[in-house]
Amino acid sequence: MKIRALYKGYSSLLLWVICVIVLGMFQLISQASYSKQDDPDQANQRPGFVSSRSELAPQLSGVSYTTRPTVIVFDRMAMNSSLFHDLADQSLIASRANLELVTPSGTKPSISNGIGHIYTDTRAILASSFHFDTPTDGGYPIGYVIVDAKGYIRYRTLDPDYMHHGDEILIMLKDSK
Amino acid sequence: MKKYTSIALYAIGEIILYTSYWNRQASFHWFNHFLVGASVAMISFCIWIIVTHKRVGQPLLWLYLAHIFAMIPYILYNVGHIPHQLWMDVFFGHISSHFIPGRNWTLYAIFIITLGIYLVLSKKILPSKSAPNQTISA
Repeated sequence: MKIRALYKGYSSLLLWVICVIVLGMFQLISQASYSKQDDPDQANQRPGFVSSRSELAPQLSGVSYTTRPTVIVFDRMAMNSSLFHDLADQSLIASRANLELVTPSGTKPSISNGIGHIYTDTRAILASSFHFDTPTDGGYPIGYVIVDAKGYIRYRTLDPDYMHHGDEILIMLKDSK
Repeated sequence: MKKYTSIALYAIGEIILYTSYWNRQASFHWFNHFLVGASVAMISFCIWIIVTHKRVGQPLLWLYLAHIFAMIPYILYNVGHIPHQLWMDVFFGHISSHFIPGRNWTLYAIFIITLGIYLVLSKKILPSKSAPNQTISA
């Protein structure tokens, strides 16, 4: 009886404490599940909106930004059979934009249809010139940049799982013309 | 029994939403919009209690609807393939809420504070359901 009376008296406090603990723990567990290749600031990863035309993209040899948008993918290896998990995404992106690939070793997927150029960036000079956030593990960035047809960087994100997010690139291309 | 059914339905609803974010590797965004929606709901509940001196009917339903409202741009993005735009801040700051200092931990603190205020107001202002019995026994 005493316990029941005590519970009634402090039920609100108990509910509040449970919410504090459960939600806090849940958020900590969720944070621990982020990949080491993710952006340490999740707000900057895949924000879903294009930025204003304020930052001109560094020039890439052999690429003209002025004809149509350009998607520049940065990866550490890119040794799968295709750049995107769904090969149709690779074709669709290449049909709507220049598709370029940059890796530290110059590796490329076996099906490289649609990829305009493959750049070797051994010393990460290209990656730094595009001002990516540093991934949690401090390694080479895995993600992509979208440059519009006026040469401005409109979207830049680390995305270690970009190969499964071809549909997102297509959505962001809509606002990056 | 009705109370527990509501809690179970609410929990199932939130699990469904969380899973949809998790599948897109976007659990950060679930927390963000849940915490914003829940905080707005708590503030609204507080105002309701102060003004009307009545309980909020179906608080968990309102909590859920507030979360859904906060994530409408996410639905537009996934279903309508519409990129986020700055005007989408009308949905409880859908864009800006990601970039506040402290990120989701600040929103967590705001929610916890607003929940605490709501619980205190519920206790102080609203008549207790067991008040008549307590009066008799006193």
